[in-house]
Amino acid sequence: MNRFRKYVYRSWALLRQNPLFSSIYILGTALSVALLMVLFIIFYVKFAPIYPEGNRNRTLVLQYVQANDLSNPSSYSGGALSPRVPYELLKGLPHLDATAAVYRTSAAKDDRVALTTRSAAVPVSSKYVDGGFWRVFTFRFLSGKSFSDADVTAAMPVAVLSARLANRIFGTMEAVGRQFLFNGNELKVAGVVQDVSWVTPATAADVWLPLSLNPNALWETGDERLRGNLEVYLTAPKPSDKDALRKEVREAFRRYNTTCRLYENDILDQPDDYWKSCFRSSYTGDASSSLKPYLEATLRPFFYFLLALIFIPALNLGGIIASRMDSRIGELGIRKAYGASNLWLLRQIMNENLLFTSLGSLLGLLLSYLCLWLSSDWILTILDKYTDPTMPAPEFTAGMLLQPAVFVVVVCFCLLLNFLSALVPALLSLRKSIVEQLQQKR
Amino acid sequence: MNRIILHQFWNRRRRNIWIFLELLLAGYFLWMVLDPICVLTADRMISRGYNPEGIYRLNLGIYDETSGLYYQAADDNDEVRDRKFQLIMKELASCPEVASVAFGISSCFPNSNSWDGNRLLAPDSSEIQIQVYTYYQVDGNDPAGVLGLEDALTGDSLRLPPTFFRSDGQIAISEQLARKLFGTPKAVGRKVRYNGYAVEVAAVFRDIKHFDAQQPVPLALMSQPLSRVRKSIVWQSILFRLKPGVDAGVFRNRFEREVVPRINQGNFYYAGLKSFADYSREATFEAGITGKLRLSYGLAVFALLCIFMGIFGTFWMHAVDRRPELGVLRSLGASRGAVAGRFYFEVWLLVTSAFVLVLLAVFHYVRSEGLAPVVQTFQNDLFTPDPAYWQNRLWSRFAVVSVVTYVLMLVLSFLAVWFPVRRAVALPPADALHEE
Repeated sequence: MNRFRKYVYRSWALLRQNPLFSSIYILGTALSVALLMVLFIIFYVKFAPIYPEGNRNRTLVLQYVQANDLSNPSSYSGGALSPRVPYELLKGLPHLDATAAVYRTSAAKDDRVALTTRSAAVPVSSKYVDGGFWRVFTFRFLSGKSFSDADVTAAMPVAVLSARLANRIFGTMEAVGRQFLFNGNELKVAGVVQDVSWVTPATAADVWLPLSLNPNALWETGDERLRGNLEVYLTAPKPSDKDALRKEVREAFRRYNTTCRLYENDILDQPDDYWKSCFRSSYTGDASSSLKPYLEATLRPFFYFLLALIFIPALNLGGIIASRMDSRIGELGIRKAYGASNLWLLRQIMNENLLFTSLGSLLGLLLSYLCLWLSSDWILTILDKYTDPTMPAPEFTAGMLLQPAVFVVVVCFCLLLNFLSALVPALLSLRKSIVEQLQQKR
Repeated sequence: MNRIILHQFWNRRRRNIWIFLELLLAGYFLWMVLDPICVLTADRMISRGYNPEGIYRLNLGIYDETSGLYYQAADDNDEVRDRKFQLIMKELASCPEVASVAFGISSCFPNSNSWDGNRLLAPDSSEIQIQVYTYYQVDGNDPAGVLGLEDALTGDSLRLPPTFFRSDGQIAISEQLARKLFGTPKAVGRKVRYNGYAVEVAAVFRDIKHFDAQQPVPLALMSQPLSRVRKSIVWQSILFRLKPGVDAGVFRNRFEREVVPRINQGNFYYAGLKSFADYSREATFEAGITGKLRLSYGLAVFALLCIFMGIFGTFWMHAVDRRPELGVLRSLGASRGAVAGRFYFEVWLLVTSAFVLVLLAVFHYVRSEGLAPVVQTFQNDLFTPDPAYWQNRLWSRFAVVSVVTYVLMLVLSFLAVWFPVRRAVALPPADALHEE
């Protein structure tokens, strides 16, 4: 403890001795940490389990099926899935915990809600979902409850509202049982949930309705009637069961294909892990592609960015430390002359430097939060190849940002940067003999 | 003198190695992030070819059987729909602020989120991929007026002949397309084959860009009959341009207060006005260009700041260490400018030598990999990039991006060295020699 206090004291003295120089060092570290943390937080909120997608780590996604014409290999047609897939083909798989079918449309505000035909209509974002949606996703109900499978089957005119919308049209969140008009149709409020940020576009909406209320959601096409308008989310009982579930889904399609004479239904290596599904798009810019994953194309530049984010500042800081080591070379010589080993001195230098790097990392983390706050309306789309321009601006919550994983990454990066930037200059300085070091001082 | 500086520079190589390596890495990284910025900026700087100011799309909605209490079954037939639609168009055209109105399919205007293309058969029998804006054959349709198209030869406002909206036999083409087809913009009256039929060129207009953030492509305007107003009418485009000088905010307020109640006719309802500026912003965002630019700017700033801090830190230490040397120089009569010039020369040497190696690395990369399109859009697959633009030629793009990268690195480095140098040369020779 005493030794640690000594390191801190010495580092603090160094910092005060040359404040401008130290500021440059701390700023350099902060810049690097800030940029890295912005990228990390973007990926974190996109892929980690957050409200209401708390089961992302055990969720598989099926978005697309492609019917390949067996008589003409170059001919195919593809699209989203029909209700047959979740309710017939995948029903009863051994490792299937729950299935959600979602009719996912553009976030464009074509839908409107109103209290009566005479009151002003409010534009809203809607999602048509089945009963399983509420089991796959972890919504928090503030009042009432979700609609059931039976409600969906019976096409009951019910809906779940977000707290914001309930407050807007009824002035209260206690709206269960009250009636309102959705695109001119009378619906009853079944439940009110905590607002969902557009950080999670798969689930975000103002109003959620039974799938059966929209004929387009139940639409199916193709000779095998497997293509439609649905996206299917599957959860395994445990994250470790995902691979088993994936194999079962592929096996179900393979088995089904043995009964098809005209087409082979290809799910293109789906179902994907949740995070991987974000890199699958029908709009990859490649005319020959249907719904290829563009994972590699996105992650390769990201990997280069990461290397640059680590090595450019490390060289920058390394240069600064090397300059400082030159001015402290005599001190190192004297310490060695009094019996300090190279290892002991190396540890001392690394530990002293850690204070600077830690201060920089803390500043960098705060800077990254500031960046995210200032750019929250667009920052999440920065790595996307295609973005829905009608999507409302996502909102970051404290719960998303103040996660243990974020702090763990900052600490790891701080240690790595400290190691990379201080090790080589320190070793180069310590390589010299005591006489050389003392001579240089003279 | 330069030989002495070079000699000193070489002697200090161990101290400079860190900043040299950083310049190498940061320079390469900077080149890679400046490349999309240069290309996208150049694309954006190409003239749109039309003036988006004061152009709007009127969005209509239509209630159907699924619209519950809003739906009026009695109005759901072709005859009523025709009548109500004519009334809506008349309301719009009669607004005193409106200069011209156009009515076409959903993809008939710049930055529209749908797209319509086809192939034209040139006189030499080659096929040319084109983009098509199709407008309906209705009275008063004036797409050239709404878009503000200009005649390719005279530069005057384009007027499409009345015959253009009477049959499918005429086509108006962009200057780029005219040159591809006939080698000249003087193409009015000439014939091309479209969908197997011969069509006559009615007008040639100056190129306009479909996507504001991308390059213009060969474009044609066509017309088609509107037999009946179907329910899909709400997907079509009703465009209008305001008269010059009309305040957009005042117009929108008045429109929503006075005109909208008259637009809500039968099963039709008003679903909003959207300006061309909004379409432009959305299309750029949707194609991932906005995100790409923001990311590239962020990374470029990061690389430049790293260079700035690296140079600042290194030369700060140099200035402190070399005080005695500077004192000797000053006492022997060297001016402040001459001393400062040594530092700037050293920085130039450092940046330039690092940049030469960066260029070699980038050159190797460009030669082996080529330069990919900066953003992937479907246009990349359909249209061959026009070599008239420097950003479409490999080596001119390499040269421009290299120059921009070098200039930025050099400017930032000079800025970074300014304060340490100023501090060093401000020290009186006696004080500087005191340490010696």
